[in-house]
Amino acid sequence: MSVPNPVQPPAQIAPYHPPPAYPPPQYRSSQGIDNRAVIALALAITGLVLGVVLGLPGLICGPIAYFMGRSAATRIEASGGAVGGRNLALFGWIFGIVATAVGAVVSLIWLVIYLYSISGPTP
Amino acid sequence: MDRIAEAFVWPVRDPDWLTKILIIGLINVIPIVGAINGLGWMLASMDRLRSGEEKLAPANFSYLGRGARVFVVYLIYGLALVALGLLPYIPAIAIAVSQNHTNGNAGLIGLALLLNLVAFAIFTLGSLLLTFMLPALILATDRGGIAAGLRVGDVLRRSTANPMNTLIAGLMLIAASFVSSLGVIACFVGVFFTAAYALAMQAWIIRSFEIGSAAPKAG
Repeated sequence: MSVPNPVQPPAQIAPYHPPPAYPPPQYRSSQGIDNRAVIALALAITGLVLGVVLGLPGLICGPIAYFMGRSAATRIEASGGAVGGRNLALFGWIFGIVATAVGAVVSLIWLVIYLYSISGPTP
Repeated sequence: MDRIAEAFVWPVRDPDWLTKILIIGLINVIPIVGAINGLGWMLASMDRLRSGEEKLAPANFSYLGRGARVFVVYLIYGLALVALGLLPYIPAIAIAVSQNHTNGNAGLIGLALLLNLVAFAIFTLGSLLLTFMLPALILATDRGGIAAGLRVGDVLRRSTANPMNTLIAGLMLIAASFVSSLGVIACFVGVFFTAAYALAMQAWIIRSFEIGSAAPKAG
């Protein structure tokens, strides 16, 4: 007496999984940001904001931001993706130049105003 | 968070960016209402960024309701700062006025100057603090309404949860406000349009802050 083989269900078919939803293009945020890039950014913005009014802060902070931004960008490139913040470094670098230029122009204006104010009336 | 610096250029990725900025700029000319609508437009642009679409929200007059909440919260914080600053400023002015040129008391004049400096420090540091708190403030208000925006403890907690994130976002917001003021060069009228561009920049900055807050601490 043999038991008829029950019909084997097609058990090996994998259950259907919907394809993974592709997330929208995201901003990389997991990697650490180079501190020097943030300092360059802070100096560039400080130089720009204060340099527009006073001139001298732009002349001081601008070049520092430029060199720090460049050095940060080099370090980030050398790290091969381990350290982030390249855009910030680039921003600090470019705005460092802008802050220096703005600081130079405004300082020159202040210098002219000062020289004009101390010069006596022409005879 | 690294892409936060793209705040300067992202609006131009939208093919219709100029038209949108011009329309929002024109609406900005309307006192108060224009600013409220601009805030709502900024939040709507942020929604688009959340969905992965790097395009500005359509420029129209439909963002008043959404912008009003943020406006009210920011106004309350601003008024609180002004009230705090006036505490040393009013006595300073009263003392300075009471002293005349001939027989002024040097000690009192010194005190008036000191109080003036304290008031100036409160205004300056308070404004900076408000700028650095702004991303957390806007996100809290947009999610939970005016009441959530006024929970100072929660807003501060969110701001200090990732200090580097807050620092970068705050610095970028200062840069955005600098861009906003550039329009003054164009016969002062340009400021309405550069302000609209700065609002678009703010959308990107605050979205970057939101992502950075959700991610593990970046060192």
